Amino acid sequence: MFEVGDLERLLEIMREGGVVGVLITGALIILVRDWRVTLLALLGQYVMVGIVLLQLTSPEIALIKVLVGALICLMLYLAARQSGWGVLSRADVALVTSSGDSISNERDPLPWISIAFRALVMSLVFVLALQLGRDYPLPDVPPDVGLGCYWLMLVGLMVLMLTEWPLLAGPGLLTALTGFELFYTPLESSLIVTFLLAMVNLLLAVAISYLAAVQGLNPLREGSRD
Amino acid sequence: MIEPPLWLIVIPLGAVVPVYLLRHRQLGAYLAAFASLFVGILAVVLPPTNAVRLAGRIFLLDPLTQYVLATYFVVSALLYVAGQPLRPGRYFLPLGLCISGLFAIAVMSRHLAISGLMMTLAAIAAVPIIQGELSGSVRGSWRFLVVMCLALPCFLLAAWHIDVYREDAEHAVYLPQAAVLLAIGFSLWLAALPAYSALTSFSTSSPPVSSALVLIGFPMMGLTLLGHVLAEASWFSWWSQTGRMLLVVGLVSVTLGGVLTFVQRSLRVMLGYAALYDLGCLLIALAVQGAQGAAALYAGLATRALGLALLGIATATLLAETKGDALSGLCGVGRRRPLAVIALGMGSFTLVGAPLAAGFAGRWLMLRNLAQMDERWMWLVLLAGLGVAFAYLRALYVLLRADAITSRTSRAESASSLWLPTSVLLLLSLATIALGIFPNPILRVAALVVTLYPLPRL
Repeated sequence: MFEVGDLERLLEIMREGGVVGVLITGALIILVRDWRVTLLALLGQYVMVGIVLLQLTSPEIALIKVLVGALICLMLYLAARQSGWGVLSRADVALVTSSGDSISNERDPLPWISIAFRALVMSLVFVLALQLGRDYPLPDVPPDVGLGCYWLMLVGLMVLMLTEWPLLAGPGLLTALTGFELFYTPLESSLIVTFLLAMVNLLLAVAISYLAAVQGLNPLREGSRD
Repeated sequence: MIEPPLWLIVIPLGAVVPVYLLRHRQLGAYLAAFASLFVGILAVVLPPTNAVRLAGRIFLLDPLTQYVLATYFVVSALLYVAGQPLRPGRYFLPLGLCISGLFAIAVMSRHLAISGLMMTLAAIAAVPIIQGELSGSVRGSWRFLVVMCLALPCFLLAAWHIDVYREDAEHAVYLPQAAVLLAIGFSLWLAALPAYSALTSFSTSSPPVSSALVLIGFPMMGLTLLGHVLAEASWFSWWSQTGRMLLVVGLVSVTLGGVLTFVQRSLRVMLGYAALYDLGCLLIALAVQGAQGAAALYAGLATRALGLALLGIATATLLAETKGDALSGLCGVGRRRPLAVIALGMGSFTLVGAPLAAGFAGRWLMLRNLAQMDERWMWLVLLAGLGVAFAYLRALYVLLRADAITSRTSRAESASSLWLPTSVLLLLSLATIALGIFPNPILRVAALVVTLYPLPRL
């Protein structure tokens, strides 16, 4: 017979798995600069957060978070395709450097340096998240979820510091907000606040898509024709 | 039946769709301006009412909110009328109204989570306005968006801490955390160091009229919400720390604004840094209240709106003549638009608080209160103000040079097509001169708001 205790244990295992998933997707967002991988990682992150929230809040709220996340990823994907990111190779996109608007027409001579730097940043962020989770545990959430919250918020902030290109930095902003929501959703019982927060997320994705579409990759395309 | 205060939300939001449909015609601008002006007058004439409940949350139209909303709605109506011929982008009118409605919800709400969410939604809606459909750099609008979004968690968490305390007084242990979170959130909204670039960087590439709308609205609503927390939150007790923090942040903003305006060579960028200087003065006025209470702050809120509207419209009118906005490319342009040059001068003098400009009376009060605390800080504010004044005087000199007149570009607007912005500039310039010479009306209104809605001395 399947008992209530078993269900709770199953949800706990799912939650722990979800936290591991959150750690992995956060790492991918900070490490990889290919927008396709970033968007996939973001989608995975929303699913993992939904799984974690299953045990902490009502299933409807968790499902809404996942659906909103899927819509956000769809919007960002369409914006990326419309502004020309899909027709460029990964190396070309990687050339759109963290300096924001400066577009280089030369290939990155030392790609591993960039990855090594990001890996170092990621390690430091992980250590910081562990330390924060231990010294300042978040109220009303299990320690592993607290670690996931800190991790996502710090990863988001790091991504924002590493690039100002909306399509690459946008997932960072969304990740930081997702980390906060992972902590905040179980605390806030008001449906109106939950609804407005979902609206903020959706409209934020619209704004990021708009900025990505306005900026586009026109300078890069023109540069590659020279 | 809709409660009377809610009309301040319903009318601007309801006008969004018709204005969007008419956005390409001057009629759209007139409709947006009419709706905005009507709501502004409504905000003034509405009698004090009891708190209104909407979706379980409390909304209240207090005297400070009435004053702030009336000022913002009237000034934004002028910006809609004057801005449309200057082509600020197709989203300027509808999203401008949308932002106005969201502002009204934010400042009338007595729940910080709702206010924070509404301000964030307004910031998101402001992105297309700031960008103005200009391709290329999106750095300014992106930074603005990021900073405003990062403030949201602070307000949501602070609201939760306060709610928990209200349910059970034993949770008072959370209150210091709520205060710290609010300090961070308001620092981000009010462009305190190092977030100042959120307010200044978008003016580099944004249409000046749009910049003016955003530079007027967001700090004004941020200061109003801060005023609400200070005046109404029974749980808040960190008065002296708040006063010191506001003073330091204000002095840093004033210094940065003054120095950075002085070194700029572009009219658009100068607008952003001059606004930062003025915002710093308002923060000081809030921190250092003398015998008149917050009169300097309340007067400053209205004169800042007037000054920034003048600067925004004048800058846009002058830049309609040329391609870039660097001073070197604007030699002699002012000779073809003399009224815009006068308006630029009057707008900058209003922000600086120079004599014979509208900002003088409020700035004088603030400086007198500041001098009583420490005379050196008063000199610092004055020196920074000189930085802003010199920067604009240099711009006026370049604009009026007769020896090297920049030729008009092919896309330059004809003088006849800009009669509306020119008329608004004339009206606002006369208003600022009149309020500079006879400051009693604005001081009387500020004193009335102080009586009806006193802020605590910090």
